[in-house]
Amino acid sequence: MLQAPSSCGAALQTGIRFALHRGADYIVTFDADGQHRAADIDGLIESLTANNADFALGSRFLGGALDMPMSRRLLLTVATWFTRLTTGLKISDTHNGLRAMTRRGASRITLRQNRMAHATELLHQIARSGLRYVEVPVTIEYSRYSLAKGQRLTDSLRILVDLSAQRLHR
Amino acid sequence: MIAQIGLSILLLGVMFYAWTEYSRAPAIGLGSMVVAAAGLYFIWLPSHATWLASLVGIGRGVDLILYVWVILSLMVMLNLHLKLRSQMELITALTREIAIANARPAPPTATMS
Repeated sequence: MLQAPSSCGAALQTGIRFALHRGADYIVTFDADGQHRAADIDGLIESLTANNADFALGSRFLGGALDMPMSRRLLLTVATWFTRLTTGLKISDTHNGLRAMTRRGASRITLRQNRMAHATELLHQIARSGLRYVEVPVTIEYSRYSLAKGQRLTDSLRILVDLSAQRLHR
Repeated sequence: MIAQIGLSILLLGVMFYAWTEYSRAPAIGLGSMVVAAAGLYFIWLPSHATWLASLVGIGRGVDLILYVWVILSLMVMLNLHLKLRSQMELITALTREIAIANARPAPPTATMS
């Protein structure tokens, strides 16, 4: 059990570091708000081995997005295009917390963004690593709880500010 | 003349600060140096400030110098913000090391029969 008072990106990097420290061969990240299905994890791991890839990124737009509000779909579409433009990755989804990575892939990830911008930062680092990635269809079930925890337009602006600020200093 | 010397000393101080910050935040360091240099220029050649101000539609040269100060202040504030972010990254790294060092097995969870 690993306890650290921190925000999403910081907690994710701590978990990745800890898993590497414990000798994990594969690392899966998973949102804790109930929107992901544990059954999708097998598909992610299988895609890593079948495609000899180091990152398997869950995509709700290749799989399913149950009860997704139109505003969220619009926001994610814009965010995905922004990410495609800035990273060069050919992805159909962004800010999807369900993903898997090999030990080699995880060791190339060093998240500095403590808050929600880590999801974009992670994709930038995947692109920079030059390692192989695949997208895997996953299903996301939106609930009132997960929507309350999820990102809004103001969060998107904060992410842009965080990403810009990171570029201004070393 | 006294005001010009005083302001010049202040701006030279800003330029020194910008130079020391350049290695950590190049964009902020360079931007602050350029704006401070522009400020120095306008303080000693106020007629040029008046000419440039009327050219860009500000009105008086002294207003242009005031705007330069405002821009400098904003850049210094941005730099402070970036420094706070760096501090936060450092605290996060320390917290991470402490958390990993203190990791322990999860307590057994109750199972439903």
